[in-house]
Amino acid sequence: MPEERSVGERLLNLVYALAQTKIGLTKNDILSVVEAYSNSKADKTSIERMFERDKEILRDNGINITVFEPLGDDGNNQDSRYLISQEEVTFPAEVTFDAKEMALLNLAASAWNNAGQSKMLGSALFKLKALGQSSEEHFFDVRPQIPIVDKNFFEIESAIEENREITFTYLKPGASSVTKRRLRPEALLEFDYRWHVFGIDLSSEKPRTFLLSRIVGEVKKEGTKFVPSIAIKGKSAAEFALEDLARFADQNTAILKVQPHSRAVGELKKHGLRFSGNHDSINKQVFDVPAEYLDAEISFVDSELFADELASFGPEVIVLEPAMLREAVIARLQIVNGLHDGASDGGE
Amino acid sequence: MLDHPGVKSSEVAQFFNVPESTVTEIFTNLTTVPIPESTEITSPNNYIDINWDALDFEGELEINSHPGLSRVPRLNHKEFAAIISGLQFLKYIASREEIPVIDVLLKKLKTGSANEHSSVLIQDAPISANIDSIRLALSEKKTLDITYVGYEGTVTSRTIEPIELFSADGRWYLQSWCRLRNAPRSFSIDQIQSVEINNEKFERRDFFNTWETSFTNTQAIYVQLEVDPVIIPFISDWNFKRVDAKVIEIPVYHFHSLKRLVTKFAGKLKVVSPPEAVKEVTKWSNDALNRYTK
Repeated sequence: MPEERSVGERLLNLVYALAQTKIGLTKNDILSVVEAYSNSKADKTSIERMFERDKEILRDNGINITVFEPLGDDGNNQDSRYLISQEEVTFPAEVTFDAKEMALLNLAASAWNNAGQSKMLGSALFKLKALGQSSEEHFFDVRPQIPIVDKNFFEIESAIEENREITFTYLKPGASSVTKRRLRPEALLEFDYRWHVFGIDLSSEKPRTFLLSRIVGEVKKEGTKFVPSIAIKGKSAAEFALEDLARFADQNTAILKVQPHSRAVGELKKHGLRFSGNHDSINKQVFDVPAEYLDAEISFVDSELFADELASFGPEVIVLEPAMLREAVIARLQIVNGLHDGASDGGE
Repeated sequence: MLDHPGVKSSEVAQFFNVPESTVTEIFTNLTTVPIPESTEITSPNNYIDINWDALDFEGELEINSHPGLSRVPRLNHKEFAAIISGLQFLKYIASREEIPVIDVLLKKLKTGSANEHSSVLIQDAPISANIDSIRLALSEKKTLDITYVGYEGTVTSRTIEPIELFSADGRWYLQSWCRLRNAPRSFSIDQIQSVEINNEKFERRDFFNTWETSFTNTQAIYVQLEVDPVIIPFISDWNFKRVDAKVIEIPVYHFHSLKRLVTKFAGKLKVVSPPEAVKEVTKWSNDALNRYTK
């Protein structure tokens, strides 16, 4: 395969050139010192395009090329200087992995096997294995699988990395029809077991967070590039968005009565359900709650989404407060009841 | 090769899962890639230098001098995102000893990723209290006494032989041989109320054939529903079949999951048949509504 070899050699050659320069090389320097470019019979535009592609390939492999723009740059990138900084593109010397760590890394990677990411993970594991001891430890009794619902995860991830806008169709919790969205994606975050994408929504020009699980169909990467907003108060966009969600959840506490030993208890525990307080003063007069039901509290972010969840537990969960959440749950139950029991008008 | 000077070409071949000849070919080809000449370079010659003797006589790969990267490249964005989210996913079933290891790993990976500020972040989740016993029983092949919450809120105590923790659809299950039912069963980790590890060791049964048949033997009830097309993408894991433009049919193994589905997508799904399914859903919503009125 002489073709393939020449690509590999060209890339190696490019790495050599950029890794040993201290002050950086201009594009013209590169095109003249890297043999594959200087010897090429193609015209200059295609060689420059080849260089751009090569930069992408290297970046995909974790080798970022640093670009220095000269002061007073007038948009002419002929004077920009490119280099690869050893410290920045290689693992810090102190990072190594022991056998136990390698085993866990292998297991973590295997969670993606079913999501069609084996090739990418192969390259990641090669890098990590090179830093680690070969692991004799294996987990024969644990088989993780990342939920397939996150199939748009990598498309969004690469859009963030490339600073490209994305478009997608979204069904907002509580909404009855989908909307088209255009977003400058800045971060992916998992909060309360759900993946969210955070970015600037272009219809409102405001920061917004969307649930990956509510995206209908596929996310499309657009050609439009954007400049990511600079870290807010020293935090990355992801840190900012995650703290924002956590703060929101802290402000929203639902007061519930839950049926002991119900499926709802097991599921809500995972989402932070805590048994606390005595809510008799709230419910005694108004609601018909069986005596054995337990007092509980839980934080939530989106009342529509949470109302969907709580309504699905039927009689196992009763929402006392806040009123807005309770009404949302009751409304859902009434809709279901009306659809299925219309004739008897809800009577027994 | 840089991190492990003198590594055998056979080991490298095994590592990358390629023939040994490919390794030696690529390795020797390294010497033919010229080092670009620039004013800054002070290397003794224009090519990478390898230890030919070690290669020829011992099959060992050793690079004497090179102008390239001296360590393993960092994880790219995508690799980093995949590995850390995979690790985080494992945290829910990690043992007490493994959790600090995972935390250290997350930190190490962060310092070794291509970007200082990661654009992928995961919130710490509460850890299930029963995991330690379950993991121990799995590795030591000991039986467990569990109390388990069934669909109708019926709590049963059973002795199980745990086989494997697996995840599906974001939930973790413990696949086991259930001595109460004398059949294979998967238990949702979230619904295991308590676990007690026994001293009794068990021999792992070869029941994977039974597993398949026991699953297919469970009689599915085929439920027909009118559906608002807007939610079709969200119920794709229900294996539905289209009956006509408005109606779909789904196999249901237990009405509990049907009731939850229909109330979760309130107004977007209407059960049309069989009548007992309609009745179950009606009762579910009725019972709930009755709690809100005195």
